[in-house]
Amino acid sequence: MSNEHDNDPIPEPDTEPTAAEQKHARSFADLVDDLVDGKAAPPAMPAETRELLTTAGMIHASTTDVSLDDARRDAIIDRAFAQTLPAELRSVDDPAGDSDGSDIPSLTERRNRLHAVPWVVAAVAAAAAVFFALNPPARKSKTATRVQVQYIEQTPMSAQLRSRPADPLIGRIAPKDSAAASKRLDRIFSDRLSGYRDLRLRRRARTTPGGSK
Amino acid sequence: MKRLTPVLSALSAVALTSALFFACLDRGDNDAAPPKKRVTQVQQPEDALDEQLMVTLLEAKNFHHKANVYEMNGELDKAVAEIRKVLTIKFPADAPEAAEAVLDARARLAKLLMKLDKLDEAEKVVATGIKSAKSESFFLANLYTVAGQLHEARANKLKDSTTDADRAAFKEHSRKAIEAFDKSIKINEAIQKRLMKGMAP
Repeated sequence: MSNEHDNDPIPEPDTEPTAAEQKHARSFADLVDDLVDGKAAPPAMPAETRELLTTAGMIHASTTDVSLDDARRDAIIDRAFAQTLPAELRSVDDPAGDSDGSDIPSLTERRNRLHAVPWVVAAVAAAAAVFFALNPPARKSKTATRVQVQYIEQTPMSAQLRSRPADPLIGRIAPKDSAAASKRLDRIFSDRLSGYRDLRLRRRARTTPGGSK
Repeated sequence: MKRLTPVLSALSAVALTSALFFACLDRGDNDAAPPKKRVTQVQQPEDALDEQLMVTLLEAKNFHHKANVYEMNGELDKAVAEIRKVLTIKFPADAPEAAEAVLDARARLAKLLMKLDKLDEAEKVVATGIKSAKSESFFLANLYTVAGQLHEARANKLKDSTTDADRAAFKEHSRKAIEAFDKSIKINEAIQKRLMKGMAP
């Protein structure tokens, strides 16, 4: 704490300041002004002056609403994170964790990366929408479902309603009739048409109001 | 970027909703081919008489009637052409009536070709029909009968020939005719027995 003013006698209250005192007060006032303006203090200065300046800064900070700019705030937080991160998360180039954390993605960088997340989600969802629009999942055939219902309703289905061999209807074919395919087909068609009409009429009766069901 | 956040959220929501909608959309894929029927398969709903079977049978019926008219007028070539059209019809794969209609059309076609003295062609038509048959029926037996008649006709042409080659061919066709008639008789008997068994109380 010793300096050039240590041995000076304490001046009387009404004593006019000397030129040296005024000069010293002016230079200290400049330092305080710079501190308030956010400028860095000179690297070299008397210890007493530095202590006074620190005290002035504390008084200023406690009496005014001081806020940090974004860049400085982020830098401070990044440094704090860098010190608290486990060693394995630090940069591979700095296994000992001796660096100041500059290898670790900054908060700003990480925030910038997070900004991409909604875009990625939207893109994936849009791609899924396009995929499903072009490749709809196959479902069970409606026809098969309809026939299945019909089958349950009519179990067991009578032979007349089914596709089946025509042997019982046509019987043994005599050699003299071997070319009479037209007559045989007429007979088969007539028989199957009867069954087919029966099926159609049953279906219509089920769907028409006042029908059998 | 902050201003874009609501827009992005809306876009994501729309895209996700669209994806879910299309994923759940029912397109009713009815084009899938029906599974192949097995011999041991029990009665299935697909066995029901359907429109496709009726339409194809009607189509075949009409070709036969056109052939009848041509045959009545002595236009056998045109009759042959009409019966050949029956063989091109896309019948339902598993309908027994359809397979029988095709076998019967082959029998008639072979008989028409025999009338036109196109015996080689007739033999091919019959052989293809016999080879393609998946089960025994009166219609297959009839096709064997036509095969027998065909060989009988060939043998009949050679019966008065005196050359050794023709004598050998005569014997060969006679043997084949008998084989074909025998096969026809065996099939007829087997089917008849089966039907009688089915009708027994």
